[in-house]
Amino acid sequence: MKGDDIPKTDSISRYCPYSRLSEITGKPTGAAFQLKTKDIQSEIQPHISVNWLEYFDGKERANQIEEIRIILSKKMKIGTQAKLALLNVGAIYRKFESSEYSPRVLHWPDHTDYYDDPSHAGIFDVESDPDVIADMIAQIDSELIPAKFYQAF
Amino acid sequence: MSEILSQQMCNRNGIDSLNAWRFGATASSIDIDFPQAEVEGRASISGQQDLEIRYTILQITSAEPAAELLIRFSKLEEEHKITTSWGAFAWIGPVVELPTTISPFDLLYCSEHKKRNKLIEEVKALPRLYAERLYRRIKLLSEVAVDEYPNEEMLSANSLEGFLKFIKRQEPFKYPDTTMTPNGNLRIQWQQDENHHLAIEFISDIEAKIVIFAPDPVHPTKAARASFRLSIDSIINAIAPFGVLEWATE
Repeated sequence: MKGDDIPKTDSISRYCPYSRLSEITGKPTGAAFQLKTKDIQSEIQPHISVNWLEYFDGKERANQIEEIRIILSKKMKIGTQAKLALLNVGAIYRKFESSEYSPRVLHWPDHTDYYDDPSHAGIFDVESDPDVIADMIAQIDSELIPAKFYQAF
Repeated sequence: MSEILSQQMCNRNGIDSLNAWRFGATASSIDIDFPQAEVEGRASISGQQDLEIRYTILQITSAEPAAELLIRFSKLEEEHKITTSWGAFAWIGPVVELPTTISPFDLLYCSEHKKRNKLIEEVKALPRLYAERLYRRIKLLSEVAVDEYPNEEMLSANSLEGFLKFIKRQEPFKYPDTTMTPNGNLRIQWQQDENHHLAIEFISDIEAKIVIFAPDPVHPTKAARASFRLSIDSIINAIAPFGVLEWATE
């Protein structure tokens, strides 16, 4: 259900455009987890958009990723060098355990007339200091995979 | 007509892979096939990104002082009137917000594009050993941004100007890890480890937002974390007490 906590054993993916990846390490920087100013000012509760992999229960990890790639390609233009950063939800909670911030990872399905994103989720409660929280999330170990699916010929 | 088209090169996004330029390309072919040619293009319609569409320029309804074109979008079965002044341009997407006139805001994008290119060239001339590498990185960010965010903010020229103001200072900062934020600003960072982190986002030519992680003075294994917004001229004074200059400079 919308607003449910995502289990700490599960994983989420964050779409990271190339221009927000570190030139030095290749990993996401805080810019990859930043909110736009208009999102922070929005009346809708601001959150960092992610996708919940285990929403596609029973599927292999590769197929879960493929489902997310398909959804994202309907929502936005996927950069050829963009990555999906896979993060463990529990690692996010652990990162903030001894801090003054308490972000929560919630299931937040996203439906419009143009696309249906049932695996959409969000990292909420970030508006108190979004830039610090973004940089802290960027310090969490993540697995990076291409955001764009390349079919083998 | 061709005069208008040549000036459309300086468009909202500045590079030919974009919706805005698609319009120019379409109109170019109209020069040959007008008025019956129907051409393919891509546009963003009601949130659907990069949608394939077919459209026809039906008529040039007036020429001077502004060019007025009537366009039919086949998929939408709608007609839209676009007006563009001689020195400006018109652009396709998003169609739902198709302008009927070119605003001063659009004209501003032309000068923004030129200013951005000029500032990027200035990076090459910085008195830093890494000037050429930094120039290539920022040029790449600017180009990639056009590909990745056709409907979003481009690399901000004002942010770039603020960055140059900062990096030209005397402090010999190490090579900065440079990225672009969702707001189109340049953001640089240095990170030695989890508790030695400095990020600076240039939000204009005079202001910046900073994030600092530094060892807690009493419990050095823990991090003190802070973020603030300040003038670019004040950055050094603000970060010095955190000991940043000891590890972020050569």
